[in-house]
Parts: sequence; structure tokens; C-alpha cells
Amino acid sequence: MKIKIATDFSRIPCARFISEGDFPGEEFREKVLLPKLKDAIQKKEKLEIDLDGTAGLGTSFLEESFGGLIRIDNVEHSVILDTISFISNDDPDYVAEIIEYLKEADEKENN
Amino acid sequence: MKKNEPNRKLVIKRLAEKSWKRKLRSKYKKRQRNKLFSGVNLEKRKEINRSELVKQQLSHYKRIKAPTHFSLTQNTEETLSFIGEIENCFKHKQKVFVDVSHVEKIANGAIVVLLSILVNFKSNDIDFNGNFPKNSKVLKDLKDSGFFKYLYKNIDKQESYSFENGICTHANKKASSELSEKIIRKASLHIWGEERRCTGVQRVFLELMQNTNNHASINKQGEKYWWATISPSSDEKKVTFSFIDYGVGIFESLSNKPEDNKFFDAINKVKNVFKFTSNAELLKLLLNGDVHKTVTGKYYRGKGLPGVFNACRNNKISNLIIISNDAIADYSNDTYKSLNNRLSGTFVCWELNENNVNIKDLV
Repeated sequence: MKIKIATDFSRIPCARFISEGDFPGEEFREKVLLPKLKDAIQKKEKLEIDLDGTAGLGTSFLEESFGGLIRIDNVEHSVILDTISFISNDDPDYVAEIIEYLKEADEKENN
Repeated sequence: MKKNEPNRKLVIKRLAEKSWKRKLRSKYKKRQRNKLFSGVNLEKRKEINRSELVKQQLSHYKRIKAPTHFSLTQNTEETLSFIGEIENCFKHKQKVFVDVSHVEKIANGAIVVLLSILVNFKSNDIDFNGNFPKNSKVLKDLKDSGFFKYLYKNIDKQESYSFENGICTHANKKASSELSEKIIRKASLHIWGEERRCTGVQRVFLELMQNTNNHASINKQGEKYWWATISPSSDEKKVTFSFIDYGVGIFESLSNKPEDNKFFDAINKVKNVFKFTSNAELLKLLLNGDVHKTVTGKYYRGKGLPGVFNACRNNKISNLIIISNDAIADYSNDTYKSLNNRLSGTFVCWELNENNVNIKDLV
């Protein structure tokens, strides 16, 4: 299974919440990421997330999209790490950033 | 009034006195004028008449002189003092005449300041006027920005503004990734001769626009405008970006949040954890990223300013300068200074050049 943010959601993702601007992380998580992740978990498949091809991704967009999976949707940290993999040639820093957000959310929400 | 009314005579006398005084005043003015014009040819007389007329028309305006070197980054104190004076007039709904005749140098950031002030006054129905700079380069820059085009126009209150001449300037209240992407495409065309993606610059824009939306106003989210402009260098492959919001500024925002806000009592919370003696030192802490976590108690917030800082650290942008309230940070020179004059808001300026990280395959 695969999600390419630039084509499956938007080439110009924006802020954290819908009230802050178009194409926010909240919308991406609810409409694209979570349904696919649940599907992948159920089918015991891998979910590849392609971060390339966008104009650029903000910290809030990434944190709300991925950190929000733990904070709001109560998906287990280990399940996310087991299921999701990333492609990020445009900006390899994004992957480390997302891993950090997931870790931080897990530590704060579950400890 | 009837003919036989008792105080009729008194009224007539008073009116006659008034009329007499008016005549005397007029005679005096005529005499003064004749004195002024004696020995002066017709052309010169016309010129004097014109300037007298302008003086009369602008008598209710407060004349404010712009700094000779009009730049927020290179002549910070004087430029901030100028902005402060204008803001004070705005608060009191006082008409303003901006004198730019003597300006020798004008920076990109100063142009966006002038444009935003112009729109602010005009959209609030406060008269705003100005003259032309004598310096041809300054005149060209101001013309390119569209400043003179809008100086004599009525401007309505809108959600967003767009000025596209040689220099393009945009204003909005929400974060608009579409707009910032458009701006970056233009900038990249100047630098590389083709449109490229610069994900770091896009991130800087997203963080700044979102900060304006979230924090520029103490009471209500999405109340203040952000303004952004780009200025391509004529002799180098680089573009300067300037971003300003006239919100309360970073430190005022942290000091004045209401009790139910996540930033309530923020400064004191930071003081309990970090040592700092000025806003300049606090700005350094904020940019490094730990302070917001401390003040909000929400681990997932406050990554915006550090995100801007990291973009510069990772060579995605260059020469980053941030001014907010009474503090200025110059990332490249690692200097954090306190200022005597305050900016009510936040100003951020950075450069994009051919050595900064970019992606060639535009999708």
C-alpha cells in the first residue's frame, strides 16, 4: 500500500488545523493517512508514505499528521513503526523529524 | 427676524463688525502676498502659489520624515522610530504625510513596511499622503513596488492584498501555501533561470504565516495580516525575502495571553527554567526550540520558530534576521541584541541564493 502526499492529498500541504489554512495536517490524517493505516494494519501489509513532490512540509503539518495518530487516534507507537515506511528524497530530514514526533507523542501520551 | 424685534440693531452691529474684521484680514493677506510677489516673475509666482496651496491642503497632516537610509536591518533604530511614529498617528486616527524626498537608500523590508502602512491607513479611511524621493534608484524601487499606484487610490478592507509590479508583495490573514509556493517559483526563476522547488523556504513561510494566524493578536486568532515581499538582486543570483506582521510581537504575545490560553504566564514559566536578562536572550532560547515546550506544556506545539532557524542552519536559506519587539537576532553573525526602539510585531528577512538547497524537478 502507498500514499503519495503530493498526489493523494495536496502538492501544497499547509498548517496544523483546518482553521489555519488549506490542506492542513489534521485533514490529511483524518481523510487519507488514518483510513489507509487502519486498512494496512488489518491486512497486515506495509504502508509506504512518499513525502516527495510537495512544495514543502511544515513542522505543524508533520506533527499533526503523525504525532496525532498517537495523541488523537490512539494508534500504538510500535504498530505505526512496524507498518509505515517512508520515501523522502527531496528532504531526508523529514523522516528523522517524523520519527522524533512519534517518539515524543508516545512518551508524553503513554507515560 | 422681524423688523421691530428689540435686539435687531445689536445683531446687525455684530454682523457688520464681523464683516469689517474679515475685510481687514483679507486686506492684510493681499498686502503680504504683494510683498512676496514683488520682483518675482509669473512662472515663479505660479510655483509659489502651488506650494502655498499644497501647504494649505496638507496643514492637517502630520509630516513624518523617513530615514535617509530606510532599512530595518541596516538602520534598525531609526527605521523603527519612524514606524513607531506612524503607528502612533494611526492609533489617534491622525492624517499622515510621509516625506521620502531625501531617502538615499531603501531596502526591500522598508518597502513592504511602507506598503502595509499605506493599506492600513487607507482601508481604515485615514488620509495618507507622501512625496517622491529625489534619488532615482529609490524612486524606481518604490514605483516597482506599486506604492505610488495605490497612494492616490481608495483601498477597501479585504482578506488579502496583492501588489505585483517589479517587486511583488502579498498580504493575508491565513496561512496560504499556494501563495508562498507562487512566490518561491518567481524567486527561483531569477536565481536559476528556471522554476525550482525550495522546500526549506516553503517551510519558513508556513511557520511564519501560521505564527501570525495563531499569535499575532492577543484575543482572537486570524485577526492580523502578514505581509511578504521578494526583491531579486539586480547584480547577483539571489533574492531577498521580507516578512512582517503587525501583531503584538513575540514577547508581548507571551506576556499578555489570557488565563485560559496555553501561553498564559509564559514569561514567568520560562524564567523558572532558563536564565535570561533581556528579550534578546529570550529570542535566542526561543529559536533554539526549548522555550515553547516549557511555556505551553504542550510538547507538540512551538516548533515553528526553531523550524525557521533550522532552515538557515541546514543551508536552505541564508542571512536570516529576525526583529521582534525590542530584540534583533542575526543568525549568520550569531548576534542577539536589545533595541532602544520597539517594533509592534515581528519582521523576518532572509536570502535565497544559488548555493542554497533546491530541487530541480518541479512537479
